[in-house]
Amino acid sequence: MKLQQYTEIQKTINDIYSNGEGNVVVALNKKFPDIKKTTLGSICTQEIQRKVKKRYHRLNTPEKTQEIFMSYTTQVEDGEAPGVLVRMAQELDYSPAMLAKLVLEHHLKTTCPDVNINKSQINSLLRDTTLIDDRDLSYEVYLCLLEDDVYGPFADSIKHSIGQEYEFLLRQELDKLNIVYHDEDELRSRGYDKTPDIKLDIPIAVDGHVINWIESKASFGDEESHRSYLKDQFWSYWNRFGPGLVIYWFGFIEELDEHREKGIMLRDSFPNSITFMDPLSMN
Amino acid sequence: MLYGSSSFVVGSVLQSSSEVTPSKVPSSVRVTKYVSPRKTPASRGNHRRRQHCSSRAKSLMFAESSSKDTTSSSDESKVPAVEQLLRESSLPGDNWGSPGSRVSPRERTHRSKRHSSEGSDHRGKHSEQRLVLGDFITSGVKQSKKKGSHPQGITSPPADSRPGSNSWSLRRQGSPQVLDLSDQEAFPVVGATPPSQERQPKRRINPTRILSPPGTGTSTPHHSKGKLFGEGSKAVFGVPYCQSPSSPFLAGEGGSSSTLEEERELLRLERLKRQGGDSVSGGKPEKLVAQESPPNQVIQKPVERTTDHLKALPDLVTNHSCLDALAEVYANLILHSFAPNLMVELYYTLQLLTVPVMEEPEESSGILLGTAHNCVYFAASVLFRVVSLLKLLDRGTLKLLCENPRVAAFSEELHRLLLEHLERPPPASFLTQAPKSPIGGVSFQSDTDNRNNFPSDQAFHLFRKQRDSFYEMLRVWEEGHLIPGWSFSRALSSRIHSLLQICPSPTNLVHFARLFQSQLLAMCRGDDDQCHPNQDQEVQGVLTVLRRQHPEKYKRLYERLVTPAQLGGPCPAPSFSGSQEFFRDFIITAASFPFNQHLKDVLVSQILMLSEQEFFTMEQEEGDPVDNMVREEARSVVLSLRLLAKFLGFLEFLPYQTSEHLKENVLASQIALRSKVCPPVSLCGALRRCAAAGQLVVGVTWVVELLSMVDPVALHTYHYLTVVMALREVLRLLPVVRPEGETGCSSCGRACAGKTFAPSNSLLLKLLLGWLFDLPNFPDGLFFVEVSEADIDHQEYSLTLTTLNTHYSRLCGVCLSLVGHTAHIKLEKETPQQDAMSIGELSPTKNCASFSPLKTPSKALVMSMVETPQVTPLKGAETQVVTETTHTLDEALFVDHQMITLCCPFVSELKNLLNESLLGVAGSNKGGSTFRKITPHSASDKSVHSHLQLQMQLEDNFFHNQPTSVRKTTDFVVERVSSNVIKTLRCQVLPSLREAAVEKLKAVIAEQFQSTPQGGERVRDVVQQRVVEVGREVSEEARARCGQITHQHCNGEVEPALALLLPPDISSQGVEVCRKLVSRCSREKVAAWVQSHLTPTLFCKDLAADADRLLRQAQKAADLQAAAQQRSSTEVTPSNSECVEVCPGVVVMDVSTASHSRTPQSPLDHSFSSPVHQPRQLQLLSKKATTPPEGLPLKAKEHLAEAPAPSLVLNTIKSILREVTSSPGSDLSGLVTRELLLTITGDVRRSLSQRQDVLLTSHPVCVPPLITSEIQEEFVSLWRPVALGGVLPSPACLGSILCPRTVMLVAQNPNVTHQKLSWKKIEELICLLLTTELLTPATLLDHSVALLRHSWPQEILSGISVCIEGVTRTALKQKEFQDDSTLMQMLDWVGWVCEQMDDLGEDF
Repeated sequence: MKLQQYTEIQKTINDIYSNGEGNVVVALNKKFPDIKKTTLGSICTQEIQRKVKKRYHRLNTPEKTQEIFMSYTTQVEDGEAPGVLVRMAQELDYSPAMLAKLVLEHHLKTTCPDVNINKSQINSLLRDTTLIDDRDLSYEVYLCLLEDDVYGPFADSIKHSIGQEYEFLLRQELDKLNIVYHDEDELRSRGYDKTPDIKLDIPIAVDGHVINWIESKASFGDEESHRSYLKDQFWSYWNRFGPGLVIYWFGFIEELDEHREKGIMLRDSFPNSITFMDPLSMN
Repeated sequence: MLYGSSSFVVGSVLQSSSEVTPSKVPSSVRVTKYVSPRKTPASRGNHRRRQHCSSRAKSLMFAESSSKDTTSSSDESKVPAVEQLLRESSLPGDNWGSPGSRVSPRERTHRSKRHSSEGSDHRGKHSEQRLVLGDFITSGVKQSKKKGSHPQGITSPPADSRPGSNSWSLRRQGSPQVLDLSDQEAFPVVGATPPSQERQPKRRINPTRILSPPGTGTSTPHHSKGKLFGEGSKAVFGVPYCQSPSSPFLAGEGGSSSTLEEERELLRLERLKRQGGDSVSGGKPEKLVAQESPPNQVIQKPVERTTDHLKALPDLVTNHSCLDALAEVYANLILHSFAPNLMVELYYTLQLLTVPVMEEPEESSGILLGTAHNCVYFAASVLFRVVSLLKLLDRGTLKLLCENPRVAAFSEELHRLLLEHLERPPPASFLTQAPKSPIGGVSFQSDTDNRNNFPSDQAFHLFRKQRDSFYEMLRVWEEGHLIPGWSFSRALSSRIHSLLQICPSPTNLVHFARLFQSQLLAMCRGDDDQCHPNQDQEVQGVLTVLRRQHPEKYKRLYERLVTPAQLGGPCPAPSFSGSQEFFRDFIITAASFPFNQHLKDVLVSQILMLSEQEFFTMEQEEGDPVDNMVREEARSVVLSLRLLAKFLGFLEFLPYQTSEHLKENVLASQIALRSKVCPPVSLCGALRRCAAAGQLVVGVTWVVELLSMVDPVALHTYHYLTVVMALREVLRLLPVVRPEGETGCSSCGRACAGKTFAPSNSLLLKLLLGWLFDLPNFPDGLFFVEVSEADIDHQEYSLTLTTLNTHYSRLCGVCLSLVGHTAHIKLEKETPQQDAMSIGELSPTKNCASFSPLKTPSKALVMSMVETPQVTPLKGAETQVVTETTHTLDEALFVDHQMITLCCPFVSELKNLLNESLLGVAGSNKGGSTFRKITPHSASDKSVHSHLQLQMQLEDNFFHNQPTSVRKTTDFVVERVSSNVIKTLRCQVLPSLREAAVEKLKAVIAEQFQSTPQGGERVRDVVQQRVVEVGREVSEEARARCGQITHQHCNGEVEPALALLLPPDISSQGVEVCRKLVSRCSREKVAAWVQSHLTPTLFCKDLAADADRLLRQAQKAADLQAAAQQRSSTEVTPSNSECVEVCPGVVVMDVSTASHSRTPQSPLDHSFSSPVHQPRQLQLLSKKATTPPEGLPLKAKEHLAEAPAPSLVLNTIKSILREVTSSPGSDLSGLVTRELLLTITGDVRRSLSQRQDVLLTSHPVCVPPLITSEIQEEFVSLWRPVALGGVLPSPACLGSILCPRTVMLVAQNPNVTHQKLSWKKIEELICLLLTTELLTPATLLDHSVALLRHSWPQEILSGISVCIEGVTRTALKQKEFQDDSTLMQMLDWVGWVCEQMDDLGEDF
């Protein structure tokens, strides 16, 4: 996808949000019928994440948290219908799951001020909301998690699951072609410090570029995420294993494929023109 | 500052010219005791530098006078008065060069002195410290004239003594007839462009030297030292020499700050200037003009006369005899390493050769080198005498020399020799495969880099960061360093510091130092001055292929494009070029002592490890693929060692580098201080080890590289001085001509038992050592100091000397001159007879054992014949003789031209000099008709090229990511396989083929003699013709057989061998790839061997010898027969004991036999093919392609892609739940149907059981929603089989089924009946869970009690109560629960309480 089209989509998404036009992906799909739904969905998710990231700091101050919590308790005490937090999130234009987490955290702080609450505790409560002893909150949080497509344990497990599916797809393709590789877990067990999803035992070439490793990303490769992946992952793989391939299954901005010569190639599907190493073909 | 600041001392010339005893020279020319100042500080007072030369000059006079006293009369009669020669050699001056370009000697002296006192410019240093041939020719004369009247001692120079070495020239200022050697046009400054260049016609590739304006901070070669330091090196700590724009020690800041635009502008101006002389000066920007003529720089005044390049004419040469004598002496000194720097002398000689001829007729017939004719004559004579050395230079240079019209005009012999040499086919070129890493990084090797190599997880983690950060810096550098204004320290210093401080523990630093070193090798080894971060991929591809397919072409192109035109003279200061800059700047910017220390450790250990590797070849000549591999490997080791040693030297001497001039007392105290400190590596020890292993060529190269980095003090100190002395001894071991035979010297009677250097090896070492001895930080005059007077570790020194002497043959003066003499004679006679001789040697009838392998041009053939018992059964005893003797690197033809160019890039200066002169001369004589045309060559068939290139890249990448042992093993197997194949060929195939061929010849001869019984010329001709034919046939056949045999070897036997040798964790596909690699490489190697050895000519030569023999025998027999014809005519065929019976089994195969087709009818072939049919039974370890990820307790047997994807199922569940919860009480039938739920649960099951890509962790999280769905009565039944089916083992959430949230859920539906129904369902579910033991009663109890803590609305409580009672009731029916009475009672109680509360609630 060209950068220009991407910005167009971005703009559309934001328009839809500001107009409050219901299901974004459906609307987007109508406007960009040529683009895969998954791609649009991934872009949407990234947009939401961006928005949440922006709001996070604004909401995560002690005063603001207190305010939100007060508002929540008041509404519950007033006997408002369940779904208080979900409605609050909508008003705040914030992720319901994140809001739930924030409230839950505050709740724990106020109910048991002596106990030091750590992140994993909160996460386990989120993962199983039945463990929250306050029944109203438990239910509210539960509703929030269900409502949220981007954050929260449910959304996370869906995301992980998708990632796993595509990684699996990748491995399947490799097996089909009889390409030998080591996967992440094997590498980690051998004490590697940085491990791509796939490290090829025998390099292959795609469109004339040598590939030593493959990283599968079940998301759209936008600039922000690609930069951070480059810094944290791709360059590290490059340093250790040489040139490689990144597959953004949901597409990427074409302009980002700028390190191809140097040895980081981007693709949105499993490559079909693969050259195998065959020393005998050189004669 | 003439060129030629040769470091040769007048006395040496005088002395040796009279007696030709070069061995005595050093002592006779000793000028000053070389002692360290701490011993006799006074003698090295403030005058040290200044007076060195003048005092030496005096000493010369002294030495000469004494020698003359004893030998004058006889000598003068013998040699045409060398002294006289010199006396006459005042040269005409004024008519040379235009006035503007002249510098008065006074000024010159002054300048050179300043240079030296600032300790900077190596050129300045040249003239200051070392005497030049030019010096001796002029100055020697002057002084010798006066020697009678003013005898002076060494230690007592006159008070008003001339301040510099050139001071004597003041005295002759009055003479107009002196050829002013200071004339910058005739003898330009080293590295400056000679005047003839201005007449240079245009060429396609015309490398232009750029002098950038001073403001840009780029240093130029013409700058004085002080200026350089003022501007260029401010950012550099301890960086003494800035010599060229790519200055060696200069940190990034100063190096390349001029913009591209500026450079272009400069280029343009330069070109204009060259084209049009002064005409452009008007258009030049002011600053450029200023730049081009700095005050103390000689202006290259354009020569206005276009016709001044007259021909130098041999007829006009005067004083032949004197010049001859002088040339003889000079040539001997060059040949026998009595001048420190070979390169400087050669350069000077070529300068003399190409000296321009002036228009005015020279009248000064009495002056020796007074005319250009004489100069040229002298130069040509010298060149002729050192032709053995010249031949070692690269062909480009030789071609230019040969093309130089003066060579042909003045020395036909030389011309002829050069021509002949050039006509001979060039040695097969085997390019060192540029070992540059294709990846650009250092691969992660789990053996050395994984977690186990770190003390803690944290350290491991931090090193990961350090590694990534290092590469990030490299990327930043690659992108930025060529951008003008980019500053290394500004861009990277904070990163470097944080990298080194993030984890300063020794473990991490060691790891990092190792990474640093590996990366250094990966980026910089091989091609020093290449750094193409943005290489065009396609162009690179074409080049790669070119390199592979036409190495020679590639090399020429490479040299043309990459080698800088001029490198700052024949003795440039060391520099860090290309990517080396990054590493140097990193070290400087880091300025971290711990890092430096660890890096030093790593470097030292790596250097010693590499240096101790020993290499042996079987043959002295190139050709055998195995040997070539050894050589390649050794070359790669040498290149790595040089790089590592350079950086070790840099680190070691970094703290001492200074640009200040050290006063004598300061110097003395520093020397005293540092003399106690040992070098990081025992250099003498390393040299000894190398000498013992016969590979000084390895040791010396890196030691020189290390020492080239010295600070001004280091080489004065005890230990380093010892090393220098040892190196000086090594230089003396290096004759260029290999002595004939190994019998030793007849005159001195000493047996030369030791090894001798192969000529090209010797040349490389000569060049390198010469370069070292001429570097600015090399102490003045040290080369001439006697060992006994130097303050060195004598024990160490003599130990080294002994080692050298035991392992290498050293020739006395007489031997040397003999060698030189025979060389000349040989040279002259060599060509016509050589072929015949070698044929003779090849003949198998001769006793090959007595022949030194050195002399047999094709050892392979000789061996192939002798090694075959079946062919020469009578000489079976001789087969042992040919036990393959190993040759050390020093003896073998190890160094090639490419290596010389790589290690001594300055040799190209010779070429430049000749080139310029040729173009200049041609321009005037032929009107610029010699344009060099570069024929454009279109890259053909790109697809093939890119395929090859790709495969090569894949190969490199493959090895990169495998453990190093994989590559080593593969190489090893390749080596063995190709070696075995070649041996098979030699021992079995060739003899049989040859035998068949001989048989054919025999038949031919017999036939001929039958038709013409008397034999004679005609028969000979016929036979010879036949020999050629047969030779061709045999060679073709041999080649065909080779292909076959290689194929068989590679296909069958390699794999089991590899499987055994390769590391066990490599996959079977990996083994297969290695096998293919081995197969290909072995074939290539064998093919190369075949190409170079099994040529028709070789066979022809070989067979010709046989034919001769057979002919002789036949002739003899025929004569006998003719004599006895009358008596008996029964004997037709001569019986010949030497005639070998034909092997009956050998069938000469049809040439057309394809290399791969089987011809089982051949017995030989059959024997080869048999093992192939029965490959050894070696079981390969079966390698699994993939290991499934652990963690999933149940793993689907197979993957059904049609089964719903887990993410999809999860998504659906989530959305249904959302529907259910968000609209409680509403009619769900429309949205959430029974069917839908059924589908979903079915999907869950299918997705869990049928797909392999399920993440277990994702499911438990989502199970709670399942439970809440029990409000639908169907769900319970659905849930049950799922639970029983065990698809989801013990989900944690089931434990909390009766929790407030569930109750909340139930409460959401206001419909009471609905609630009741829900409770009923929950009850059923709980019962079910209890009976299936998914839920224990105790947990249920806990939950129930917890539930009661909350306040609930009436109807809920009753619901709960009903539910629990129901559960209790059901549970009680089951046996196992009855036992647990307490529990059941409790549950009962809970139900009751609920009821009570219910009632209470009703009451309220």
